[in-house]
Amino acid sequence: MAGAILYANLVTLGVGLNVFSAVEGSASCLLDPQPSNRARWAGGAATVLIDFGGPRPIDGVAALSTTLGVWGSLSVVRLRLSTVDATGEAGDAWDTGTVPTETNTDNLGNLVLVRAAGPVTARYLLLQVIDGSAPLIDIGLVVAGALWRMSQAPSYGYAEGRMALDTRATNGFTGAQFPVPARLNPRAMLWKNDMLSRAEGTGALRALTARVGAARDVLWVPDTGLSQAELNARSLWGPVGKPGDLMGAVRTAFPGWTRNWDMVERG
Amino acid sequence: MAFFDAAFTDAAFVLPQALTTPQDVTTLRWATAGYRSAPDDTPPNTLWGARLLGDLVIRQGGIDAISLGGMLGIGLGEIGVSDADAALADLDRWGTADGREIRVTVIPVVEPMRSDYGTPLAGRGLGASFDFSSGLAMTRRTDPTLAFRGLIQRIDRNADRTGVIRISDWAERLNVPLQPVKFLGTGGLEGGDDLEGKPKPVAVGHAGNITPVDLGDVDIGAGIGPLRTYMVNWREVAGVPAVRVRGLAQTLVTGNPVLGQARVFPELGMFQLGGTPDGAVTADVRGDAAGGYPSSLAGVIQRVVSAMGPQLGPSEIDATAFAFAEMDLPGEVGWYQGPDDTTCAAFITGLVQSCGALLVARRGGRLGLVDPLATGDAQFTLTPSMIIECEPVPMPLSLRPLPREVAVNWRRNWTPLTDMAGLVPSADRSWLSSMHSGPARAASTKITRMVAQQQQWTFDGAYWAEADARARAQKCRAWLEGGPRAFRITTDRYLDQIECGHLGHVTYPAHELDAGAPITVVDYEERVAERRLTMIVITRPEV
Repeated sequence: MAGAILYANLVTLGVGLNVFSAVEGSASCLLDPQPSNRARWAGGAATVLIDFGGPRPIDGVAALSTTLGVWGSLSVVRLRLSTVDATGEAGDAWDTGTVPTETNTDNLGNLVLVRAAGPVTARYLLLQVIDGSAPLIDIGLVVAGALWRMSQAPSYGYAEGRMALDTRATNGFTGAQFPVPARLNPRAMLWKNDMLSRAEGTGALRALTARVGAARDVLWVPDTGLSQAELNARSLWGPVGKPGDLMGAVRTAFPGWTRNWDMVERG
Repeated sequence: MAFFDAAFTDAAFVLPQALTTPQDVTTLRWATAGYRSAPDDTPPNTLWGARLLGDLVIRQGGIDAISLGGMLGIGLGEIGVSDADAALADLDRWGTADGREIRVTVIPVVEPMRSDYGTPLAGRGLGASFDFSSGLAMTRRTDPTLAFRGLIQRIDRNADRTGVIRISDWAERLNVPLQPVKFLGTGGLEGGDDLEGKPKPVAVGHAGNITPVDLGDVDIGAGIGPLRTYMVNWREVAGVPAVRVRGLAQTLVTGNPVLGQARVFPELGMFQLGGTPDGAVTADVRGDAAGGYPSSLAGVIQRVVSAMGPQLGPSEIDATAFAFAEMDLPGEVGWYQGPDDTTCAAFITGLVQSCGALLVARRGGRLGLVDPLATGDAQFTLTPSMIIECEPVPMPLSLRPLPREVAVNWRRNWTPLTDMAGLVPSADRSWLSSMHSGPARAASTKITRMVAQQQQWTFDGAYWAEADARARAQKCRAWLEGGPRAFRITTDRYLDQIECGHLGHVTYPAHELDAGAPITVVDYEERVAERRLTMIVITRPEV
């Protein structure tokens, strides 16, 4: 399947954000764009209830920068989207059921849920996470919204990996080396979408460019058909533009648009 | 004292810190990446929000200090912070953070995905490791380390919605008036109108021929009526061994003094003359003795910073460093300040420069005193595998070429006299008309033979006795005869630990360091996040 980008995070636009069993200003932390400024839940269960204030299209939800997996216990998640039930428990729009989060500490504990069948319209989001016997759960960001599912998958030649922020000095006289590990070598991806449609060029691509700029972040899902573990491992949260760069698509040939992407996750 | 090299982890530095005041204003907690303390930490579950930009550089010293002595503050420069959310608005507008305490803590990153990076504020045991070479099991821990404690000078905002925290070290606290106790100007022991608001005199250690403060005729209630009264110290002194009028020593009595006599009231820091003086009145004084009489350099400095000026508490003084300084810098010294405004820093600078000692602000906010010429067991070791870079640096100009002779003045004369009574013995005249006695000299025949340009290394000593000045000169000579060399060494070891004055041992396959050499740290710069420590060291003689 093709890749997708969530560029309008409805959580920051919502009218209500409730967290249960949480401590220390958790709601504000979930709205803080710094993923490392995390909210904390005491004990091994975390619940987030969001009221978007009205029906919104949603098919992508993510809990980013989490401790899920840190303690080595099995963690599970249940996401419910409801149309009118203010408790969020109805799950009439989408109910994932209780499924393993498949999070991994190598991937910042990110949990990315995608509704493969496409968006549903819902007003209430209820995210419940249980992390076995963990003494606490920390979550940095909750993201939800509609995915722009691209008409074309990334072209061959894309590159995935990590940006090495580690340093490694060498004594030129003795040859001794002195590496310094960075706090995080963030995941990165370099890819290109060829032949995006005219509608995408004047629709989602234009809207993304206008709204996101170089200061805001997006959720990149390289393939909406990935397994849960691979979704977590390959999806990135971060900027798709750099200050000073010309952000836009290239009209390489009739009738398509080509967009080059260079993304380093924000940790 | 021993050091242990840091674990191989990267560092996020945080400010667990500042602004805790009696007014109960907000404590700001900022970090390079979000950090949340553990549930059982103090404070629990507390966020240090990501806000700091760039690296933190801590630096102290200056190679020139080795030849001059003096006071070394820690330079911390600036910390860049994000101001995208206008968090600095009030801090900039009202200066609410200015002058408040700031603490910088380094958090080793052991488990990157934990919100405390595996290092809670209380520290954490990581288990045991077994050293097969020694046969010892060792407990491994990860603990936050206090990299710096100081004061915020000010916080400024920039055009690009960032800001800058400008920081000064704890020694900034010495830049306060030396003497907070002033004359009231109400007469008697509080002086007349001319003294109102002026600081009372301070005498520490053994100071010679000082000019005491003339209080006029005062009846201090000793049953001898009003007499011409002079104050040498604002409170109890150990003694006033000599009182002079135009250089002529007065006879010290315990009863009612008459012309040519003086009576000392050590508990008041005063003396009275039996007659009206016909010229300058001066005195030798063994100074401040409230709670004991300190006379060594370490002792008098501790007295000054704890009883006067910033009035530091025990936790703000590096007692270990002062204890070592007590042994390394022996001898009775003295210093005096009359009823004129000066700062504690200026007063102390004169004292430490008198023998080339260094007063250093420690990273943790404590004040230490070190002798840069001290010898002793190495506190740290650098081997080739620990050294990223090692290069020679020039010695200070005042030590190039090496001086062939060291001269240390002694028995400073605080009031050189030009008008002396005819009865002043000729033996006293020379000192009373000079700035000091001496100098005591220690010349090196070894260096004299080796250098073309003959120069002298001179200290305006505060020693009372010639023997102490000579001993200092000889110690300097021994250090010079060791052929001191300076090196700039960069390493990734001993982060958060090295301070100016620390003794070490270095081995390196160049610069004639193959066999190793004892060294003294006289300058360091630590780039915290980069995990690099660059220090300037000077070799010292083998002992």
